[in-house]
Amino acid sequence: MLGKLLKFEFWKKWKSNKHLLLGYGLVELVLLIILRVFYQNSASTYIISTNSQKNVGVSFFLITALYCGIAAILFIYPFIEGISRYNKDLSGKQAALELMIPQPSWEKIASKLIATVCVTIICGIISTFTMVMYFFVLTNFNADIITSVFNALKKVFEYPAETIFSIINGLFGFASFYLLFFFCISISKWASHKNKIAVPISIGVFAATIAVITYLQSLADKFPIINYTFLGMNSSLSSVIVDIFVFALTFIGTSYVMERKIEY
Amino acid sequence: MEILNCKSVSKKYFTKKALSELDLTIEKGKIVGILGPNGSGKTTLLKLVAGLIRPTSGNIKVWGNDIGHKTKELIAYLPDSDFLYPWMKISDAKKVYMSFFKDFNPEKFDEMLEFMKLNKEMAVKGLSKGMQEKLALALTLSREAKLIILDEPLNGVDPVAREQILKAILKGFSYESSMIITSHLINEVESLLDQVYFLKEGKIEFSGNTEDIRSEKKMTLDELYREVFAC
Amino acid sequence: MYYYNSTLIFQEGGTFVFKFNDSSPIYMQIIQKVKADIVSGRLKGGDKMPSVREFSESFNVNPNTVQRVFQELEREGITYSQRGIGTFIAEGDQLLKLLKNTQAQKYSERYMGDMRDLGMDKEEILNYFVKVLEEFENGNS
Repeated sequence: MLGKLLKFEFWKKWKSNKHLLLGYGLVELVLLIILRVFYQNSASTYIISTNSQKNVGVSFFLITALYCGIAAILFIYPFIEGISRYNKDLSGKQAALELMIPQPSWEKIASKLIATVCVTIICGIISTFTMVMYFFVLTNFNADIITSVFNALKKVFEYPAETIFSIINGLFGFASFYLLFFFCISISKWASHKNKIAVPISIGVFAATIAVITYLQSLADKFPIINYTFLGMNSSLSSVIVDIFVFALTFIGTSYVMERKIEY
Repeated sequence: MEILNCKSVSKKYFTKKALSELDLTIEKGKIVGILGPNGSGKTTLLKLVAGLIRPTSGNIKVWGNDIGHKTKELIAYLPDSDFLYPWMKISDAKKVYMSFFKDFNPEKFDEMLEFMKLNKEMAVKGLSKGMQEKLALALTLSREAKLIILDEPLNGVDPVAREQILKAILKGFSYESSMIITSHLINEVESLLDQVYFLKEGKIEFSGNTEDIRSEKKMTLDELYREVFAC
Repeated sequence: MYYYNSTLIFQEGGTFVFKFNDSSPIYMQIIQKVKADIVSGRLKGGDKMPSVREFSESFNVNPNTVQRVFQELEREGITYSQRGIGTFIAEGDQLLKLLKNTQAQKYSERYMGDMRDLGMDKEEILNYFVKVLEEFENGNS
């Protein structure tokens, strides 16, 4: 059931991306070593004191930019990978295998969603860790920096309810985001497997769906039912209802299309 | 219960009608050949039965079930040879099939691998077309499915390998299930078939029992094919 | 397919392959082959026949067809089956003699038919036959 599909999805993602991940680790490690070895002194003073007069040179910035850029790419990568993979699952060479698997479509979508969201989080954590390591290593494990990072982490555990709520909110947000794309892609594949036709249709569906969501959100603003503030952001119960409603609709829609309309 | 029952099945695309009101029934324990020129609708029919595409009208039942994910459990469909992920090893493909198909028989698969001289550690991307075809076949035939559908199983395979594939197909046969085979190599598959259907432009042009065709018409299947499709 | 004593040994790849280019029903051709093998001594009385499945796989023939072959052979008394053990070639010289006669008759009829197609008359047919027979005997000695 869902377990088997989940295992399959994770396994697919791991097998096709493990080299990328390894490459990422190596490249960032090498860059970090270069930065540390060549720019140790100038870098640490620059980072700690904001009004340093020392000249650190363009090459330092370039390498730092590269380092951060690569970390940023890793952060974004799951979004691109998740969506393009779904696209391939529906009309790539391996679509036959995907279609042959005798599980109901909603389970297939759920497993893909869960796997993609998990990978997003993992990549996000690795990316953040990469940046944190940058600061740690280049400031030579400066005590102040380390304590401030740990204080930030402690804050998370001090407010468990807010943390959990944020996490759920975040997961839901990611899932909704991906689901929207899955919805548009599956409808476009219903029309045709040819990219010439499918891509414009998916863009059209995307635009239409966004329009509907915006309209619903504006309705929610008019009738908030309950207002609340969370982490400095205003929100309302209607807004939450709209989000859940849209999620459910796109999920059911995608399942229906995959089960009954997609052809190989 | 019949293994397959197609009633008045049609499939229309924007530009053409691939199948027109087709009726077909297959009992268990039979090997059926569906023959015809390219574009006659053979592959369309097979994909309809396998549940990969949907009919425009008509009804298909497999072992009494409507087409859906329940019938996907009952049907083993042989896809085009490169349906596996290139990074997969043969042992990985075996794990996937074992995980999702309850009727997959791992011992039978190992036997088939040995018979076809394939090694579990080989990666799909390193296999030649013939070997990929053999692997796909081994995976499909190791499923003890009610209906096994082989669309051009001898495609792109050298004569020696073809002989092995025909044997493998017979190894995969069971009296409790049935097989559908399509092929252009009529001479080579003829001796495997119980029944044959000739498809022309989406309709059944002719159907019959292969041995009866020989005794009544005094022709081989190949000769009959040429006669039916001469024009 | 080789026969060895009372068990069958199959050679992989097969040195013998049914071509089935002859348009008579396949099951009949297989029966003919079995009969010819008995006559030539490749199959002896008491030899064990392969199972339907083994037979089907070695000759690449549909199992239902093979089933029919076995049924026919048993019906004609050429084979007999022992439940749980298998199917065996019938023993006894009578069978051999009968088959020999039937095959000889068949081959002769085929020769006749071919020669008649050439437009030969009775005397010419006979002459050709004697001529070939003598050539054959001279060649052997």
